[in-house]
Amino acid sequence: MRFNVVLSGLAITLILLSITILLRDLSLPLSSLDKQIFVQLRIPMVLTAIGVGAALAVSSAILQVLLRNPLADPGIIGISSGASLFAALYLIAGPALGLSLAYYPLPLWCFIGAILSTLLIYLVARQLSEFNGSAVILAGIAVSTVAGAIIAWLYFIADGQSLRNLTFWLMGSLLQADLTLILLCFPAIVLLLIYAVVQAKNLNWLYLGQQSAVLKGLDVKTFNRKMILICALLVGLAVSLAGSIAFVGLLVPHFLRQLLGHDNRKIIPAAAVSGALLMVTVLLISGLFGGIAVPVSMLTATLGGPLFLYVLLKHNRLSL
Amino acid sequence: MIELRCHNLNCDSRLQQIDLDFTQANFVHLIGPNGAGKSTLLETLAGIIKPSSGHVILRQQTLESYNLHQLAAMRSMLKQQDSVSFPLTVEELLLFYCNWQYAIPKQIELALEVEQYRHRHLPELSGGEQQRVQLARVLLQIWSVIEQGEGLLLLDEPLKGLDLRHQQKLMSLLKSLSKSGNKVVMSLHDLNWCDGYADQVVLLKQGRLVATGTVQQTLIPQQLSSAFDCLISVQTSLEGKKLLQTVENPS
Repeated sequence: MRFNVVLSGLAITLILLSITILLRDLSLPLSSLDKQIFVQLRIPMVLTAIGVGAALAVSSAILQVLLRNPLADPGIIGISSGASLFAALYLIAGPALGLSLAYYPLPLWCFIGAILSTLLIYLVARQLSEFNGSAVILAGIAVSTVAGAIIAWLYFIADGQSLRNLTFWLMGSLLQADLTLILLCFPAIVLLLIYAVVQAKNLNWLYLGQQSAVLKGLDVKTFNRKMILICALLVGLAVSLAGSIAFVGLLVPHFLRQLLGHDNRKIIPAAAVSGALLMVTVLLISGLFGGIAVPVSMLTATLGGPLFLYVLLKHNRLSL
Repeated sequence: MIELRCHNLNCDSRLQQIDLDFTQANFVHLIGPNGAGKSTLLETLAGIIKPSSGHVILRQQTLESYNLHQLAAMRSMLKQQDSVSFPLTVEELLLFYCNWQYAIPKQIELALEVEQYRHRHLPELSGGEQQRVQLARVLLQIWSVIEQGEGLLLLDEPLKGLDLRHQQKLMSLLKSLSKSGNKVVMSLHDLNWCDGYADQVVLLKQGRLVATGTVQQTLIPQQLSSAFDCLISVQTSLEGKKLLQTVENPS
């Protein structure tokens, strides 16, 4: 009951905010210029915000249960770092080496980077132990440190323009949304989210650890691999669309658990809608700054940093 | 009687050449010093550890021939470290792991008294209270099978953390479940529970089988003293029950 009320409340707010952004400053009926703005700018922007927010929040909700760590998110465990590295290589090494790279491949490179870093983290973690949340997090930190180091070296060889491009990308942006790209990515995100919702019941069996899930009849090894892949795909798509965005994943599932409990059959769909709602709100706020494109991470980190501290303190008080 | 046997079971160095037949006994007690292999044996019987050689036979079939779903429907296990990573409520735990949304069945509630914790978060409960909740979860996972007297319960130190009253209530419950046909295999450290409850006692040391049989055949002072590396004396209580206690070594 409570779940239905919360979810419909969130969904209605999401729809209303989306319509507000879609139609802001446009008068009905739409003129041909307005139509172009609507189709080429607004729709991609709103769909990107929805897709990215939902993807990040859901992948974090899954990772937190999978790694038995309420504070895990794709950034903290390093899945996003591969995407950043590949973006840096594309934006800095490309021009420095005199390679002319078309616009479209940047999202593709980010996607490949996210998948490769996940694979690397998974392989390193498997060397450390069978499948263990701490091992994955340690491997993630190691991989993102190496990626960070390479990005730092790339800064040395970068010219001014590439440097600005990279800095901007690393802070995330919803304003460069592209219609073709989002039309390709959005259905993929929706399919992955549906799959995640279907798997939510099995995810509930992981709260007591891997062996307890096996005792309930779950083939944990295959399940872990599948779910890590789902997370990597979701994060890969999100960073391809909007660059690196901090804290969304950490905060959304945490607050939802406070509100709705721990049943992933509720948390996963609610995380999708809330993540989307949060990013659409960010989009709305960034519009308040006039023509200035405020990097998304600046807003999410400004909100997220203090909230993260609060979450840390609150969580420790519960578990200690 | 549920057939349960192991043949020449080896599990790295943790279990060596274990041959056991639990078919005739419905309440089995595993005893032995720390690191003797009690937990490993229980986990192997549950099918969550694959033996490096040998096999377990459950109801005329090897354990490997069952899939995980079939096993989950007929056996349930209490592990020693069932720590939770999130502050689940008792209600959520029972819903996720047992699909149980109803009142706790009377037989379980009488022994474990967990209904009162339904809306509490697990980390808020004391160690013993959490243990009672976990025991209720393990029983509820296959409760319909247990009611038919066909369940296999593998319990790793179920008495750990329980106060005397709940130890007594739990042992009575397990005994009555075993009498109705279920098979209960549990590890424990308080050997005084064996007499009057266990149909079969298994004494392990360093991964090897030292002795198995009835209480009379296994709880022999010299044998226990040698297995536990400390002096153990046996007295008989007024009710005729064996009472074991350690004796301070004179040296």
